[in-house]
Formats: sequence, structure tokens, C-alpha cells
Amino acid sequence: MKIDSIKTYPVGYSSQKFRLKHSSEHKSEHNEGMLNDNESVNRGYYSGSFTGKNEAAAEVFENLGNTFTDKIFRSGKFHDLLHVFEEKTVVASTLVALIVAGMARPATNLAMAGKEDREDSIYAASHAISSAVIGFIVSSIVMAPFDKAFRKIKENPEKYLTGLEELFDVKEIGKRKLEKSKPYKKISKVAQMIPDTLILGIPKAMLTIALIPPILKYVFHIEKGKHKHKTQEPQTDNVQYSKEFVKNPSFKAFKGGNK
Amino acid sequence: MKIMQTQAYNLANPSYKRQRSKSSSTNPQFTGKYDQLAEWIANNYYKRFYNSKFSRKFIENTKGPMWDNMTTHMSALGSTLISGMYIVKTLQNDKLDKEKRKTLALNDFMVWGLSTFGAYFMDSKLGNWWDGVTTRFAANYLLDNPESMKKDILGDWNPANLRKVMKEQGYKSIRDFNLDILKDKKLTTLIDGMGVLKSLFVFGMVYRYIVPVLVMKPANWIGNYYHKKQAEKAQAAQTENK
Repeated sequence: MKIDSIKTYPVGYSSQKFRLKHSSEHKSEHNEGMLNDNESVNRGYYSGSFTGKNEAAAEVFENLGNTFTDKIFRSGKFHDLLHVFEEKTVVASTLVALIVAGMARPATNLAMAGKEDREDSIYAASHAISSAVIGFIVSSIVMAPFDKAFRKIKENPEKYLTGLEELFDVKEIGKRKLEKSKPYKKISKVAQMIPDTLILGIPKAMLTIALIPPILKYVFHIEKGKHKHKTQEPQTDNVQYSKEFVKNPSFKAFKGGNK
Repeated sequence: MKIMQTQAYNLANPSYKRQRSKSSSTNPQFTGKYDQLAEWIANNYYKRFYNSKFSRKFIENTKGPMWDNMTTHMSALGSTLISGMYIVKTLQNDKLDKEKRKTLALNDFMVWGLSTFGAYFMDSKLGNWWDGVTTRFAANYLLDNPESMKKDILGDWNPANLRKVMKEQGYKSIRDFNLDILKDKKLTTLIDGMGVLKSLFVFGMVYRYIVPVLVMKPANWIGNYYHKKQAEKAQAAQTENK
């Protein structure tokens, strides 16, 4: 119903008057946020795509606002979540780890586990959940002052970034102007993620590892070394090698991913 | 009587409850110290970082479009460092013999390579689709925030037609359209958040789910099956010899 009434563009909608992007009138009217003449310099920053192409199928969004996805998109909680992803990227990455490695992976492993390796799978699942929960909590605490500091810069860039106009390709430092600056967006993401990636990554991993045994003991009532290993297979060189391979601490610790 | 009084108070000041709980939950001394810490980090980490030679060189050397998605590259860097650490630890592990160390390190390296390649591949493949999803998200946002639709400039239009309006104005990217025409700061943050959400989920899924569960597990099954068959053969050969 609403879609039927969409065609309400004023007559001459596509005329020069409404072609704002390149009009000098528009540029002077909305000067704030405009950067320099070379629009390609600061244009197109969007972290969702490498190509910048958008070969969209339909031009009109059918049933907008009413589908299940639209309801999620319109919810305040989803907006809060997106704020977390943009402004607290490190915490967001541990949140993803919590969902993927702390929920989806153990659930799938348990579902795929046979009778023989059920006990091992339960131990691995408890370990993965503990690791993801601790990782999320530790990151949230450690990164909180960094995120607050970044918000301070974002809210008042004049105070911290004056003198970097040339570097960021902007005429002057300002909230709206920096939004358009590709160099600022890129280096900001690096600045946001470096404390976790390079500086706090290893101490954080050590703290997480240290906290896993008490969590396993008091939350899951599992103690390291107490779970039984079922392995009554023929003892040949190959099998022995494969068992050692899997038991190796490096292999256990890694399991194909970023902890 | 008491209830009536409370109701009257709440009607007069609906935000009373929220204000009270907020003031009681935050210690001003703690807030002050915390704010000082954040200020110190802003000045001694972020400000110095932005002013560093590294930042200048980094910006100079990352001008191409392939560097636009910095979340992806930082996620890959983090995973590379951790995987590298495991590989070095494996190679230095004296409890294992040399050959096993090499095999394990190669295994770690291959898992890292497969995960990284898979994550980049998926991220780029989903780019166009995600652009469309983000545009729909923005259309939903405009549905709830009609004041951001710039009707004074664009005339009366329906958010369901957002793509058409963008095309008319010569925009492919919703972010650019928002920055130039709609100028809604909150929407910019949300659009950027959508990009980060996609990249982190792609990396998280590939590194922590698809490769370790859907690739490594079947690979282990195949490996175990092969070893079992080899063991059976060896046992059969042993019994024959006896």
C-alpha cells in the first residue's frame, strides 16, 4: 500500500535543481562537511566492500519495514549493537567470538560427536565457552578506557587533532569533516585495534588461559586431567603418531583459529 | 495514600526513577579518575599515534581501494600474529621430535593460510550483497526518522525508493549519499557499524567456525579413517607373520 504511493517525486525531480551532488549551489549551501575539489580522495569509504560497485537488483524495497529483518533493523538494540561494532571494535570482535566460538562451535561439535568422543567433546565445549566468555569480559574491561578515550577524540577532534589537516585531507579539523576523510577512518580503525592486536593481545590471552581452569572447575565442575580419554585402538606407529598429534598442546591450543 | 503520592510524583517527573538510579550507581570519585585515565590515553596514546611517523607513512602507503576495509586487515593481522606465535612455539617445543614439529608447524601454517584466504574471499564476495543490505537498513532508519529524509531538498519521497533516489542523484554508496545529502551523523555511524559487523562476522565465522568445525573435523575423520585402515593392515600383516 505504502509502496504504491511512493511515486511522489515533485515534477522535474531529476532536473538540475535536484541534482545536488555536483552543483555549486549545493556545495556553497552545505559547505560544512565538504572537503576539497578532488572528491575521489575522500569518497567511497565504506568498510563493507572492496569493489565499491553496487549492482543492486530491485530498485524499490518491497514490504519495507515489515519483514523480520526489517524489524531487527528498526530496533534500538540493533542500533546500539552497531554503535558497539563501530566505536568499540575490539569488544565487538570478542562478542563475535563469544557467539561463534562460545556458542555455535561447541553446539555443532556436541551435535557431531559420536558416543566414543562425547566426553571429550563436552570438555572441549566447556573449554571453548569459558575461553570465549573470559575473552569477552577481559576485553570489555581492558578496552573500556581506550574506547572512552577514542570517543573523546571523536566528539572533540579539534582538541586532539589540530595540525593534522593535511594528513587527513581536510580543510580543517571538525567532527563532520573527519567523517568524510578516508585517511582518518583508516588510521582510526588501526589505532582502535592496535592496543588489542599488538600490545594487550598476548597478556590478555595469558589471563584468559589462567582463568579457564577455575571457570571449568566452579562453573562446569570439570577439572583438567580428570575427564577420561577413551582410546582403545590398536597401538601401531601410525595411530600412535596421530594420537600424539592431536594431544600436542600446540594443536589443542590452536584448533585452526584465533583464540 | 502513599501510592497516590508516588503516582503524582512520577507524573510530574517521569524521569525521576532513571535519574535517581543513575546517580546512585556511579561514584563521582571513580568517574573522575576514570575520566582522567581516558583523557591520559587520549593524549598519550591516540594523539601521539595520529601524530606519529608511522601514521603518516601508513596513510601514504595505503591509498588504494583495497585498503578501505581496515577492520578486515586488522583482524587478519591479529590472527596472523597469534598463528605465528603458535607456529614458533611448536617449532621450539623440545618434547617433540624434529619431524613432528615440522609437520605440526606446517599444519598450523596451512590452517592459517586456508582461514585467511577463505575470510578475504568471503568478505569480498559478500561486499555487493552487504551494500544492498546496508542500503535497506538505511531505508528502515529513514522510515523511523523522516526528519532525516531532507524533503526540503529532495521533495516528498518514500524510503522504499531510497535506491532510486540515490541513483537519480548519482550515488552508488549509501554512505556517500548520507554524507553529502542526508547529513545524518548517527546514520553514518550505523552504516560504518554495518560494515564492521559484516567483516568481523565473516572473519569470526571462517577462523572460528567454518575451518575448525566444517573443514578440520571432516579432515580429522578422514585422517583417523586412514590411520585405522593402516593399523588394521599392519595388524593383519603381523598375524600373518606369526
